[in-house]
Amino acid sequence: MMKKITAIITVLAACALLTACNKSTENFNDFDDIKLVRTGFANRRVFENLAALEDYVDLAVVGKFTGDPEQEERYRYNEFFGKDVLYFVTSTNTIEIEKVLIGDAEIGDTLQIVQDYGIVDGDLVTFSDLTPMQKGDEWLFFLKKESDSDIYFCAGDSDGRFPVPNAENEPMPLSDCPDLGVYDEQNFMWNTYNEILEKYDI
Amino acid sequence: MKIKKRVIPMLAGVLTAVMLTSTASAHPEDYWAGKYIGYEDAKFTLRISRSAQTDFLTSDIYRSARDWNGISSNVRVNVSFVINARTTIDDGINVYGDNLGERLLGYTTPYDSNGKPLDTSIDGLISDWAYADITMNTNSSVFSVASDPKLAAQMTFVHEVGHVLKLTHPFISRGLGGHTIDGKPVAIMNQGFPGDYGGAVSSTITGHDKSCLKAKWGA
Ligand SMILES: [Zn+2]
Ligand SMILES: [Zn+2]
Repeated sequence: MMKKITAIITVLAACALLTACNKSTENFNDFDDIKLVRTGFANRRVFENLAALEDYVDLAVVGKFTGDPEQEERYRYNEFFGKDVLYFVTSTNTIEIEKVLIGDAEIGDTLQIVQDYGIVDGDLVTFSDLTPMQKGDEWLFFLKKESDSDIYFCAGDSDGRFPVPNAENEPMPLSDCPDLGVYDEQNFMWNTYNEILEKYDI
Repeated sequence: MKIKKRVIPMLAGVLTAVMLTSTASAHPEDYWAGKYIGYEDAKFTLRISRSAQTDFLTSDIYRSARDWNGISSNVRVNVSFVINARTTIDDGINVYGDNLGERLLGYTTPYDSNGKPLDTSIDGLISDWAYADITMNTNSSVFSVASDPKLAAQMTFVHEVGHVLKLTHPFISRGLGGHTIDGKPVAIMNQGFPGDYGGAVSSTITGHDKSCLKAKWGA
């Protein structure tokens, strides 16, 4: 297995900096020309309602991504193809906490979140149903901490990240329903989200 | 962004209307089109690499993949363990292990003929695959919270082999919460731990899984 750490700061990101001063008039987007490749049929935990989710998570917070994600690609030699083949890729980003619903955390604390996607050979390769982490985006997170590190992840992948009403997130052209934070509405937990909106003031 | 505070999932109603016009036996959304390039059937050896063999992921977990045998005459699954790095089986589906944290239990990746992962929401659903392999999570803490951790790991492996056999998740376990024909069929191809969703996630291959396998590969 070969590990490679790269940052997703591309030429496009540099362009973003150049246009940052007039961002309000530019509809600039990092993901406009990227091909989306959703791959990997997984088995993962499912949380059929809010109670199951609350029971599982360490933290539930509203937070904002404060940086560009750091990417780790995993390759291994594949006998069938006779070469190293990508088999997994993750991106890790930092959020700053703005509100705490569950768990031991303070407003202003930062923590790291990992999602299973990355930009490989110009494609956005994702094993996750969640859209990428974009700097400045605000979400409601239901988070579990990895037992062997200090990194958190969204419980059940798309079961653990929800929209903050009235958030002004960056455009996300790769998704049909970007406001929900998933590529496909069938992966969004509407029932749980409605329960959350009923119970918590976010 | 504008999201109303109480959103009724209207699409669920549309799906209900669609399901009434479907037949009860076909379930075409429960398996994918296409086969493996150069093959008409699905007869292969699962080659369990050393990376997948751990104190927790034992040989009996992997041997349960043979439960897919005897359902379709065009499906035959053998299981072989790599004893040393040199053991090779030409037509094997490789099974690897890696520490995937606690986010995934395991996953199956289909590839095109260049060794690139196929998009499982578009081409992967309709095209012939060149190859597929399975990655099992060797981080046993992801399974330790299940009521029966070994059974959860075994179910995960048999579920992943089901994906290699081109079966998909029969009910949408997330947002819309509905299989388009028969609600939430009890199936090993549902996602989660055995017993989740009121027992719809099965630890063993069920009648629904079998009918899908036969619909896909023939009786
Ligand atoms: Zn699956
Ligand atoms: Zn079905």
